[in-house]
Amino acid sequence: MESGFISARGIGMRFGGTSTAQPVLEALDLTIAPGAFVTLLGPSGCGKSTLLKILGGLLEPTDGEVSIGGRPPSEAVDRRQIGLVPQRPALLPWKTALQNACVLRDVATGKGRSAESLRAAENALALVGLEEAAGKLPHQLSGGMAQRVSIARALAMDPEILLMDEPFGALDAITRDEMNEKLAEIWTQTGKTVVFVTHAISEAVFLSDTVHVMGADPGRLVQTLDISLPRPRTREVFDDPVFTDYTSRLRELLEPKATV
Amino acid sequence: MVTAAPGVPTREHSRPVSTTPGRLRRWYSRAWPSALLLLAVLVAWELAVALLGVSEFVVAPPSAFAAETWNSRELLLAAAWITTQEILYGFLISVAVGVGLAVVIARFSWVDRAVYPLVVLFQVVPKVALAPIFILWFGYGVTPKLLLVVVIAFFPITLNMLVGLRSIDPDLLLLMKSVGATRNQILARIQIPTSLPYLFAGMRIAITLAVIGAVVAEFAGASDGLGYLIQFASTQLDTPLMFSALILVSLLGLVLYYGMSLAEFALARRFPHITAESQ
Ligand SMILES: Nc1ncnc2c1ncn2[C@@H]1O[C@H](COP(=O)(O)OP(=O)(O)OP(=O)(O)O)[C@@H](O)[C@H]1O
Ligand SMILES: [Mg+2]
Repeated sequence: MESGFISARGIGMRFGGTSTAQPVLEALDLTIAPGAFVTLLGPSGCGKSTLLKILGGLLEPTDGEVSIGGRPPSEAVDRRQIGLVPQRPALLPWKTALQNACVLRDVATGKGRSAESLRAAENALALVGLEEAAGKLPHQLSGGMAQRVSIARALAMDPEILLMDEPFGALDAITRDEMNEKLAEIWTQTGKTVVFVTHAISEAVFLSDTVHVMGADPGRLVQTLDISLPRPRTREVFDDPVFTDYTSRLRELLEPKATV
Repeated sequence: MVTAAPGVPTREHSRPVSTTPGRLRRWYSRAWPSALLLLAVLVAWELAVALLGVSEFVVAPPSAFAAETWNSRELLLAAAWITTQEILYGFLISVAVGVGLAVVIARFSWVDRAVYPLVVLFQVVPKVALAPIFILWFGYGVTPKLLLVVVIAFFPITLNMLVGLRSIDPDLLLLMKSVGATRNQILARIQIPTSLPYLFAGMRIAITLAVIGAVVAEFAGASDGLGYLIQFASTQLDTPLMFSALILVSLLGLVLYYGMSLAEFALARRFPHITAESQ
């Protein structure tokens, strides 16, 4: 389990290579405990997606280094420890929900489609509550269903780390609340380390053990807030005064000037 | 220059895929007005030739070449069969060459840098003008015909396929990287299936070009085929035979074009995104 431990030291990132370019990330340190649910919260364009890719070894930082369980992140990729859920579902339009849920696992294992991978994908679809939609093609799925297939696709590999980039950004408020409850449930069941990106404050508080607030120009960590609400959390927690206290503190951190 | 042909689906596939019977019915209802118009033109043509007293050597009336087509049916069918074979084999080779080239260019950046500019440059050559050269090199047999068809028809296939191979969703690419996929896995599992609608758009253009290639090659030097027949008939001042052969060539092109659509429907069972928007 110790391999779920993600550590980033002195991360700096510039695109284009020129030293004159404005850095996207600068001198950023971050440690994520195994099995934790950690959220990166920040305004649009502050470098959340960039940081997430760097943490997963999908992007090489200009400065600093990342280790996962004491090893370079490329090894985590090779040992299929990383499960990515991108901002858009990015499903293959010619494959059914079930086949889509198999794709990453099949590539990761390097074998063809096996009964074992089908079973893993079926279980993953059941976990996100989509077993009845297994035979549907992406154009027959609603936005929320497609997003859940995308999550199932990552879960089917059974990775130790889930990297989720604003997975619910395009959903309406009600579906989003449902998906948040579902995700909290899955996290409790599977015990994975989750790094979750969002710019929605209540979503961050609802889901996380720890919220890292990011600032822009250059992208950096402004503050870290531990959320000590009891679990399991359900919709009722939204009305809890402790919850609203967290959300207003985070809002102030995000908009320091707008203190009314 | 690098533009997708019309009818290339976008990445959104939200529309329901229409079924084959539905499409056929719509095709019929759209074909009726054109069929009527064509009939009207033929009638007008017949009347004009009769009323204006035009010589049959200049313009044959439809009834004359209908009669001629019937009388020379064996000659015409034999010639059409030769030309059909040239077109089909040439087209199949064009698809193999076009797809192969596109895949190699997309897969190996050094091939892209070395070969692609030359392929584009080669498009400046008016390929019809190559026909006499091919005849000179390879004689009156089938080789120069196939060669001309391929030289004319492979390019739209390569170009469209290449656009398709490169239209890969950056999120999908990232997903594949996150599980350590190789370039070949990305090519086989994502890029090639994604490019199928683009490939078909290219093949539609290529099949009509293949007809032109085969006929032009026969003009330049042949002892059989519809192109040869047209030229032979013109030396004999046999205008009705010329028209019959011409119409047969056009029909051939039409049949092959719609044959492509059938192939597309067949493949759309497995890859529904192919027909999601085309036509
Ligand atoms: N490949 C790239 N090349 C150049 N600049 C990039 C690249 N990727 C990101 N950037 C820049 O880095 C900055 C941060 O981008 P990033 O996508 O990480 O932001 P984000 O916090 O995820 O934003 P959002 O919430 O809108 O998704 C932006 O200014 C963006 O223009
Ligand atoms: Mg982002």
